[in-house]
Amino acid sequence: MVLIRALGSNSGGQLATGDMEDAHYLATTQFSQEGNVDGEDVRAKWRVQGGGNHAYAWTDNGPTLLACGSNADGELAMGDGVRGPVLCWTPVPFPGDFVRQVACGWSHTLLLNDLGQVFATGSGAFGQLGVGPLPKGATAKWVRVAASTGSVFVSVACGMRHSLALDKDGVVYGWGANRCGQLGIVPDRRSPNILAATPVEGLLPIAMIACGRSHSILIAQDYKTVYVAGQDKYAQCGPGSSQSGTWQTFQLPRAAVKLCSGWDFGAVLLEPDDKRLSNNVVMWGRADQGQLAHRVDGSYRRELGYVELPEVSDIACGSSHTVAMTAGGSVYMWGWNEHGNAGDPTLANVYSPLCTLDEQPAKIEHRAMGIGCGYGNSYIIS
Amino acid sequence: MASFYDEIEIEDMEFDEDELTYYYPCPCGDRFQITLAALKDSEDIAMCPSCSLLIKVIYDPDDLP
Repeated sequence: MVLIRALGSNSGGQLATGDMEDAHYLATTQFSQEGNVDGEDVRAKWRVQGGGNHAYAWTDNGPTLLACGSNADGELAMGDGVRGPVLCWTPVPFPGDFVRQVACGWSHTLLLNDLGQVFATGSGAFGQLGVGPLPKGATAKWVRVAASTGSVFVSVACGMRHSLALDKDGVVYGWGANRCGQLGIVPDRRSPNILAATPVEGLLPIAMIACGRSHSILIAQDYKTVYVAGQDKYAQCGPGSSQSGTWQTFQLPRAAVKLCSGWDFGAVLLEPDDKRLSNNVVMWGRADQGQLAHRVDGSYRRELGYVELPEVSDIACGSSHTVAMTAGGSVYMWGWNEHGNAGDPTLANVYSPLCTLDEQPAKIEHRAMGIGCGYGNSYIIS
Repeated sequence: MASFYDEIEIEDMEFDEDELTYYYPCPCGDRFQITLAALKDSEDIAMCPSCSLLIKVIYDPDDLP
């Protein structure tokens, strides 16, 4: 039976702990009666991802989709009758048979199903649903994101108010807020939002996508070429040179295994080196709250820097903090911590990786199998 | 002088016409907020009810509704 524990901000009920108190110590999340997962396949791999005030939990390529938190903008796809907050993991019906991925923005959500179809729900105030103008500016039921006919998508990502989807041919589509050029389109003050999924052109075929607050990060199918567009105020566009005026590009030192983005920084998990001894997470961007796991002069660092933590096997980023799981099953956190979301109950910001779960916890069933983040919170899956 | 989490242009804030208040997302999940009245009074600091973070609002006083 899966155990999901949570830390951090909870004013929207997004921790699924049954109340709306912040959790400064790992708190056990609750499943609704309908969402009872006792009968689930024990081999199912669980994923958790959250946005501003909502979160989803699902079985990877499995039939189960659960959500919690606010549905005020329809971000839980639970219909207009449910405003929330929903305080425990509750089933959400969805089109298709299996969930491939869920991504959450400030108040919208994208769903990718087993057929490679992308659906959106929640606020469309900035065009982030990709369906053109909506009568109420929001929807509380899944709507299909239109793209070129027959597109099969393989991954989705949400920024604060923008959305990306990657198709099986390596083409990225973007829609939503573009005031900072985060969709890779030159911003137009008269049309700051892009209402329909628009392909990004002129880049190598893409393998990975991630969104920050007002920027987008892509990694090409060589797993080393990185493209970033959008806001660069905190050096979130990284160390590269600009290409065609919209995308900055730079190279990673080793092949990428996973790409994540916080609000104003980027993080890449690299493949281990031959001896499996070196640190394998690189980061860049905003640093003033410990986001880069280093103290830096000023509030950001443009150059890539390693996080002092070897053998990381997974990473997840919130708005201003990062969670890492090691090959041995321990969990470390760093960054902004005002709500306890980076694991220090004193609520001081964490400037170097803090171990929040040991490799060998007292109970074997508490060993970490996965991690996830919402904007101001962290989840550990056991 | 308190340091700001960020400086946000008013065009990036969402305006609630019932509450006459401007909102911007806070990293914690709550929202920075400042009333129209406060902006007209030359105040420009929006606060989050759940955090110590502050933002400075960039706006033209002549452009307020």
